[in-house]
Amino acid sequence: MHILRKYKWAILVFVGPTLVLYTYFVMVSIFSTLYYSLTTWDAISKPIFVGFRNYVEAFSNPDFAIVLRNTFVGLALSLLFQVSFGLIFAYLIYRTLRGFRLYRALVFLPVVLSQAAVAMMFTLVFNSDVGPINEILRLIGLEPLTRNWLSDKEVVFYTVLTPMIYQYIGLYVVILLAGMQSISEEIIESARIDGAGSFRVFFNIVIPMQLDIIFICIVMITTGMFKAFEHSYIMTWGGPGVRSAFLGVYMYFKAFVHAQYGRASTIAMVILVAALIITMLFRKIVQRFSY
Amino acid sequence: MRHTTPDLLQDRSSIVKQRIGVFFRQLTLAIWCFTTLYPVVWVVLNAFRDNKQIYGNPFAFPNPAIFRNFPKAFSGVHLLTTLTNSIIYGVVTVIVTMLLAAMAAFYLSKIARGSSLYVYFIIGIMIPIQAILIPLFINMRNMHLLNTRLGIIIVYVVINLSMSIFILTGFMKNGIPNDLIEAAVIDGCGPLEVFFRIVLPMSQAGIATAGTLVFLGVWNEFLFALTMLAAPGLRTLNLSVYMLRGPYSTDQGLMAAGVVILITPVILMYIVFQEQVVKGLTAGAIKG
Amino acid sequence: MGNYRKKGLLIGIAVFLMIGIVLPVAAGGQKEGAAPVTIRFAHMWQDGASEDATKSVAILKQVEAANPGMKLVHEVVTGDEMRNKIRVDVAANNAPDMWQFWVGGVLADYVAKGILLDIDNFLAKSKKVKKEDISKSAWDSCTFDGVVRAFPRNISVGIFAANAEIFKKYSWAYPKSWAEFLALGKKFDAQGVASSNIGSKGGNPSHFWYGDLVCQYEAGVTGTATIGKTLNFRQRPFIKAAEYCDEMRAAGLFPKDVMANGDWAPSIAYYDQGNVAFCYTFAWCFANMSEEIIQKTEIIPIPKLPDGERDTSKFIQGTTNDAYCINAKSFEDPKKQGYLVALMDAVAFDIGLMESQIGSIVSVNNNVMKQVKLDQIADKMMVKTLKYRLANNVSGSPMIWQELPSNKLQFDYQAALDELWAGAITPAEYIDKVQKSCDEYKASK
Repeated sequence: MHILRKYKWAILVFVGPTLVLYTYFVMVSIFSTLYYSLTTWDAISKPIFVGFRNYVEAFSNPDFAIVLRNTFVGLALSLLFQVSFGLIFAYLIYRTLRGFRLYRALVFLPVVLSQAAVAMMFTLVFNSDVGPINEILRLIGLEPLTRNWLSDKEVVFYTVLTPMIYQYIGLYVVILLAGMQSISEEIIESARIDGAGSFRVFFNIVIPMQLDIIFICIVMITTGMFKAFEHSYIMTWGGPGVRSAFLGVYMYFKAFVHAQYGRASTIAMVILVAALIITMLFRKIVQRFSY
Repeated sequence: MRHTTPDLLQDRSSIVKQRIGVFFRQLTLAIWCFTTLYPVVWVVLNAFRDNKQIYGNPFAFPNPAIFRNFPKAFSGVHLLTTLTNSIIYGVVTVIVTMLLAAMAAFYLSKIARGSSLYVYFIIGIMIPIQAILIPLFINMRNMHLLNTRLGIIIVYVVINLSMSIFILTGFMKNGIPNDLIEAAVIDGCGPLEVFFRIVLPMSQAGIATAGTLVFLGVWNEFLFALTMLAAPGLRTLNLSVYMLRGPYSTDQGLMAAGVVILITPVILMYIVFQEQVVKGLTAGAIKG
Repeated sequence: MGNYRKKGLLIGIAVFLMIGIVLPVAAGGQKEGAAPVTIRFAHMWQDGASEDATKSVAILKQVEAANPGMKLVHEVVTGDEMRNKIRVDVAANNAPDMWQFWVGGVLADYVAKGILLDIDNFLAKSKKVKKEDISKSAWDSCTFDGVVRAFPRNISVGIFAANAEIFKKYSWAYPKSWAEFLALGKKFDAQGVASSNIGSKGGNPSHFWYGDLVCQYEAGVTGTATIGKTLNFRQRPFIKAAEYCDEMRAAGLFPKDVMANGDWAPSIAYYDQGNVAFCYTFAWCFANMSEEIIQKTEIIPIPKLPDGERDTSKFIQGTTNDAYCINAKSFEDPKKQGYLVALMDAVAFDIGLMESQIGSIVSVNNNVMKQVKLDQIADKMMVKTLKYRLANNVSGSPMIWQELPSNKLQFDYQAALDELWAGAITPAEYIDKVQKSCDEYKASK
């Protein structure tokens, strides 16, 4: 805004303290991580500089390829389900007179629960002996569809992905709803008076005006998926092997279980760069579509 | 906020269509909300069961109901100390983070749009916490901020800054019309006044969203609380609930009781806070 | 008004930054004179979480009361998180004065850094513990390069047992040979009985079971004890044991969902349902067994492999499991030494005795175990177990996991077991995977 540019000291006051804190604590730590990613370090003795060896080893490691694939496929599925469900439910609540506050609170509940609690619950949901999924399948005569959801290497990836997607749908519902509420009423009213039905309003007005908020959700989903760790760790230890592991779990194991802090920092850098690239990509896409 | 076209403008068939629409909306929402409510109900029920019941019959009613879990959980988590700590850390972090993030977001969305500072701040969202744990911890140690309230609050603020700035910038960009700001400046307001008089009130939706996320993040945070708050007097509720686990195996009923204790304050706060947000939103929606 | 605001904000920020920078300098540092000496002890007893924990904390408080110059800071961390906490603390030069830990590969890094006290120094000053009280093998598990670096706490006590009620109901005999064992798989299936609770998640409890098969060979015992040096996983006992485990899986002797029923709590809860024929578990799960299942549980020897060499009724997996570490620098501090000795004495003897009497651990200290009244142990399963061990003169055999020299090796071994149990890889692939990890470790040295 040109009109405010003349207040040069605005920079100092508005951004200064944040800049200082962020740079000193976060950026310095990130640069430390970058440095450690070029070393071999067990966090106890002195780091040994090894250059790009960690990166080469990571990318030539077949396990890492599986983990990368899992993370990207998981991301695609998360974006698909969380954004679409988020928009749909947000719009439904938005249009609802009765129970608006109640519904908004209820959809948010799983977000409040710890990931450990939700992971635990889904472990039991998918339990092949006593869990309801298999029980229902047996009940309705679809026994052949039952699986060992947590041990079967074909499906374990999807089993672990389910709570990861499910738990945070409510978060995006609330965010998108907050965005929808800042749409000016007149626009909607005039559209309705012009005879637009719910679907038209949804697709032609609400979504385009929500692109910035949708972008927020996309970035949160992306960074969330790249950092995700708890569900996989609790349900299957990322396994069997790494079949249900994601980048976040993989990094956690390297850092805290293998005590290979250098390698873990390498993974962290990969996470950072990948998430950043995807974010910038989506930013370009959204900018193209918005007015 | 919620839109229905006045009856005068409709004829019979579209009223019927509208009622059907309402019915399906409510039905869909009710079904979905059942699935979101269920995990919480399940955890509450588990607090009255033991491992045998939980693992044997995961989704049945307590049979027989066990009452020893709650007293044990209460004594195990040292509720008074840890609840107070969690609330202090949460509230202070939210206030400081929201203030700093809102100021930065205002600058990034209105004063210096599209600057590379935006990308600089966003990088902080992309890095997993476990990666910067050790460098940050060493930093805190050297500043003698380990085992202090100030230390953990600083940590919580800085790790939440990026996400908050990101969300608030998004909300402010289109949520606050530029003409309003221009009008105010022409009337003689400086940036600070524009910020406190116009931007903050109009950002309530964004601040409520980001603030909720930050609070939840602090409430459920584990790794930094574990390493930086070793002394019992500073511990958080989440940490204490975790410690209800045994060294090798967990009494899931006891853990469930602990989880219930952990989420109750948050749910209460959300219910109360939601009222405030609604008031703020309706106030902000009325344009003078 | 804008100017005041601006000034106010700037002053506020300056104050905030000052507090953050100046205060830490003022806060740290030693206090002089009669101020209490702080001893930081990281342990796993959360006051109020269990009887064991509450009583342990009570004993610790007594130590503090008896030593008015000492201020004991409890840093409670249960389970695996202790490993994370210690690593972060040591990385930042912030190690506690004393902490509860495990033996084996996990200690290696800390020994290399030189922060662990030579325990002989403690024993020289101890008033309650003598070196002879504890067996040589227990001391060996904590010995690196001839120096004892950690104080052993307890032995892991494993059992293989059957649900006697089920066997009686169908008139089945307990299997002695491997063929009988495998044949039971079909019988269980026909009657809708679950075979066993030997699942695998993170290698638990599978890695113990695997070890029990390996140690049926003499070469297996020595091979396990020396794996840290040889790094050779392609030994006959290891290969055979993997093949036999795969046979078990094919015969339906593992739970159908090995992951869901893996790890300690789910596996023992699975057995506790009452429809599982065999139980393989360790003492730390006894507390989760209900009275009725304990009554039905009968400890039996593990079935003998077709080419097994040792008498399976006389051994089971289990060596020293936990150990206490003392910070060498803290001990050398004359102000702290006396308190650390008093604390360690109480922990090693008083708490060890109390826990053994409750039945939550089996102490390595023979002096302690001598004073435990067997029939007064609260945990009935522990009583059964100890009686069986005494009657059969059961000894503990070495654990592969513990002997593996690095955390990564241990992890790869555990993960490969998960895959083997789930049938996701063949025994040959399993051996290859673990050997590959051994080779990588060798190359990195």
